[in-house]
Amino acid sequence: MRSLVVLALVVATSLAAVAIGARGLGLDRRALRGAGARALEWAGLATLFLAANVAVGALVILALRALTGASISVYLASDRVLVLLSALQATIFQAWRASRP
Amino acid sequence: MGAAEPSLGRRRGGRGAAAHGLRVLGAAALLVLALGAFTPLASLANIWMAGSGRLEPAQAIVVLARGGADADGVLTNSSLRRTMHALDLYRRGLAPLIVFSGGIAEGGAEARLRAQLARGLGVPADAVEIGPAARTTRDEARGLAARLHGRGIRRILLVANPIDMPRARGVFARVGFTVLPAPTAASGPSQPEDRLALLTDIGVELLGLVYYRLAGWL
Repeated sequence: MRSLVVLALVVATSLAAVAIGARGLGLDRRALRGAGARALEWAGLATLFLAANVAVGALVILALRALTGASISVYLASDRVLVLLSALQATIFQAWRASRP
Repeated sequence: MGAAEPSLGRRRGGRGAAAHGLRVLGAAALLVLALGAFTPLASLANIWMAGSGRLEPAQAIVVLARGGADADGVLTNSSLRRTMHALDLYRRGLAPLIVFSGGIAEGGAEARLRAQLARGLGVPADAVEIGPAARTTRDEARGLAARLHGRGIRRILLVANPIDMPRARGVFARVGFTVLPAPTAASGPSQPEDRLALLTDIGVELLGLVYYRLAGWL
């Protein structure tokens, strides 16, 4: 039930955004495809950043454990906040890429 | 943005392949996200990883650490679930002893809090034990083997989360225990947010499983 509500909300606001964009802001509907492709590129970048964050974090923790004997949980490298921060990294990096002449 | 404006990679010619790769990766990630949040995929994986529980008489109930305790001394959700599951097994008379693991120092916070909770709920003090200091599941297995084998305790009910069970069961069997798996509830969540959290945990646990296999600990 909750899944359906969440999906319905996203579909409804997406349709509203398309309507407002096309009619209210005069945006071209045909440009949506390119926008979708860029969104997929962003998602890919975010995935890469997340994988890098988790991998580097785990390696650093394992190295510290081996070198110092300190007790550091590997789960630290999988904190869910990393997903949000990786998305932020991807957003900034994609904007930076787009600024290249 | 014009109607025919291509995406970043296509516009820049030579970078098209990289952009295409990113789009494929992004689409795959979004697909996993959608399947994880809106289908029972994570719950099915949870059930599969739990395997079949063997709730049979044993010499001890070993409760693995998970998540520790907050700064204000409250056990995490996973730790509390495991503790309550162990108490249920004890009440059913499946073993005369509960051994709580958890904490980097002897008598670490998580194990100590769990033991306090058990005693507070009526389990006799001599039926509750705190495990040795441990940083990892392997440390827990080795430390408990050193402590319990000398007392003839080898047949244990092992309490862990469903997704932790394959690695935990393997590493405890490796040090000489006869393991009766007693996973906490394996049905899994039904809400999108919780399903995604479980999917994340499964990903981490699978990496841990691979690491243990590569290290030769299983």
